[in-house]
Amino acid sequence: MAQETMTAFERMEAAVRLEPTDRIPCAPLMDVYFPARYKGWKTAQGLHNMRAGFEAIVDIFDEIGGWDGMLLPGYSLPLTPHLYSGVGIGKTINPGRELGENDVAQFVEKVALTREDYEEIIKHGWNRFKENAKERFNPHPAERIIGWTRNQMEQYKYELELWKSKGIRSLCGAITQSPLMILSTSRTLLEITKDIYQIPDKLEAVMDAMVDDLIADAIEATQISGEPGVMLIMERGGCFYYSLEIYERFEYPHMKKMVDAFAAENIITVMHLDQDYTMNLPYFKDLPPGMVVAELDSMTDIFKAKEILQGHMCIAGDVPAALTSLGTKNEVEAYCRKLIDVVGKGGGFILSTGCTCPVDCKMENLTAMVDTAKLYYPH
Amino acid sequence: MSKTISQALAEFDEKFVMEAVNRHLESGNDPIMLVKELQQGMNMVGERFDRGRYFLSELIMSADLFTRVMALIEPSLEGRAMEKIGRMVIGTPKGDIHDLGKNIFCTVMKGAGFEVLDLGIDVPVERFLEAVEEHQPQILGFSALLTTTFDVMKTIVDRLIEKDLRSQLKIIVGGGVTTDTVLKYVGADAQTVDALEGLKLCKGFITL
Repeated sequence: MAQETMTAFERMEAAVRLEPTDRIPCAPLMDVYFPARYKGWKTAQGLHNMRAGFEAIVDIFDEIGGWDGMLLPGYSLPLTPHLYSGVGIGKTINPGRELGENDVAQFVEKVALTREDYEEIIKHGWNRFKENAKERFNPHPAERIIGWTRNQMEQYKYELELWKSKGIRSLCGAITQSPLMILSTSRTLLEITKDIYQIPDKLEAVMDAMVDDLIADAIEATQISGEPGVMLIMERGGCFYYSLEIYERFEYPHMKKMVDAFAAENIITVMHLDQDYTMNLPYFKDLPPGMVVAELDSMTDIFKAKEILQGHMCIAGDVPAALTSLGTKNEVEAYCRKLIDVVGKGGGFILSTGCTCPVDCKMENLTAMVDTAKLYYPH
Repeated sequence: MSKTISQALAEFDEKFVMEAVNRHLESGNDPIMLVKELQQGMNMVGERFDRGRYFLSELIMSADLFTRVMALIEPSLEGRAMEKIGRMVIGTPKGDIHDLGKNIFCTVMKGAGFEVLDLGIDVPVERFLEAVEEHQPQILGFSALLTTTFDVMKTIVDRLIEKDLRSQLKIIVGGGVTTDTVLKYVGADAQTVDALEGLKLCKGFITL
C-alpha cells in the first residue's frame, strides 16, 4: 500500500499543479445513474429527486471506502444569479419523462438555433440574446427560472458541505462550454459544419460575440462555488471531426481565451475532452502550465498525451466505460496499473473514469479502479 | 478542364453538382450513370480521408450532398434495377436515440453501392430479428453511444443463433462507446468508431 502523507485535496491539487504526490489521486466522474441503478432504483427516481440522487452517489463513495475528490460535485452546480443563467438552448430528454423509467438522459440532435439567430448574437452578445429569446427556449415565467437556479444553489451548498464532511472536495465548481460546443449542439453537427464551410466569417463573429459572456459567467459561477476549478466542455472540436485548420480558427482561439482568463483569476480549467483530440494535443502546450487538466474519455491516446504534455498539463482519465461495464476487476486493475505506470510517472495524473461512470458499471470494477490508486504506486 | 460531378461532390460543390445533375435529368440521360458518378465521388472522399487530407467534417458535407442529390435522382430510377454490392440492416438498439454516426455511416455505405435498410433509433430486439428474416442481409450493423445497448446487442445476436440466422450474417458494431471488449461480449465480427473503416470492413465481408 502506498504510504499516504497528503490529504485527499492536497493530492488532487498537487497533481493539477504538477507537483509530487504521495500516490496517484483517484476522482471518478459520476452522475446519478449508476448509483441509482446500483441501489435498485429506476434511474428516473435518482434523477428527479435531487437530494436522494446525490445521497446515492455518497453511498457509493462510502461503500467503496472513499476516493480523493470529485471532478464535479455529482448532481448540481451553482449558476449565476441572472435570468439567462437558467435558459438552456439544446434539448435533452430524460428518464421518467420522454424516456423510460430506467433509461439515461440523452441529448437530442435538433436545430434549436438558426442562422437568423446569428445576427442577434453578434448584435447583443450571448447572454442578452438568451434573455431576449427566453420564451423560445424556456417559456417558464422569470420567477420560476430564478427559483430553479436558487434551488440549484441550495442543493449545491448541501452537496459541498457533505463532501467536505467526508474529507474531499470537488475540483470544479462550475461548468461552461466552448462556443463551438454550444453552437454544435444547438445547431446540430451537420448545420454547424455547413456554417464552417459556407459562412465562416459570420460564424467566427458569432463565437467572438459569445466568448466574453461565457468567460464572465464561468468566473462568477466558480467564485460563487468556492471551488478551485471550472469544467470546460469540448466534445465536438477535436481531430475526430475537424482538420487542424478548422480547429485553429473555430475552437482553439476561444478555448485559449477562456483558459487564459480563468488562469488569470487563479481558476483551474478541467477540459472535458470527449472524442479523439490526439492531433490537437500539441496546442495544449500553449496553455498556462499547472493550471489545466486534460480530462480524456479513452478516445484520445492518453499515452501520447503524456508524452506531449508531461511537465506542462495534468491528465485525467481514462478507464473506458466498456471496461467498467463489461470487463472483470482484474482487467480494470491491469489497465489502471498501466495508466499509473506510464501516465502517472512524474506526477500530473488523476485516475478517473473515461467520461462519466456508466449506468451499468460493475461495482467491483469501480472498486478495483479506486483501490488500485490507493494501493499501487511504483514511482 | 472543367471538373466532373464526382470531383464536385468530393469537394462538396453544391451549386455545381445540383446544376449538373438537373441538366442530366432534364436531358433524359441515364440516371444510373449519374448514380455511379456520385458513388465515384464518395470513393474520392474516402481516398482523401485515408490520406489524412479529409476529416469527418468533409465526409459529413459530401454525405449530406450525396443524400440530397440521390433524392433528386431517385424518382427517375423507379423500376430500374440498381446493381448493389451487398445488403445491410442497421439500427441503434433499444434505449439509445443517438444517430449521428449511424446516419453518416449509412450514407457512406450507400455511396459505395450497398443497399442499406436503416431501422432508425431505439430499435427493439424483435424489430432487428424481423428485419434480418425479411431482408436477409449479408451484414447486420449496430450503432451505439450508450453502454446500455450492450445487452440489447448481445440478446439480438443470441436470438439470431437460436433462430439459426447467425451463421449467414456478418455483424459489425460501431459508435463511440464500442471497443474490442464490446465486440467479444456481443459476439460480433467487427467493431469500429470510424465510418470509412466500417465501410472497408463491410466490403471485406462481402468479398470473403
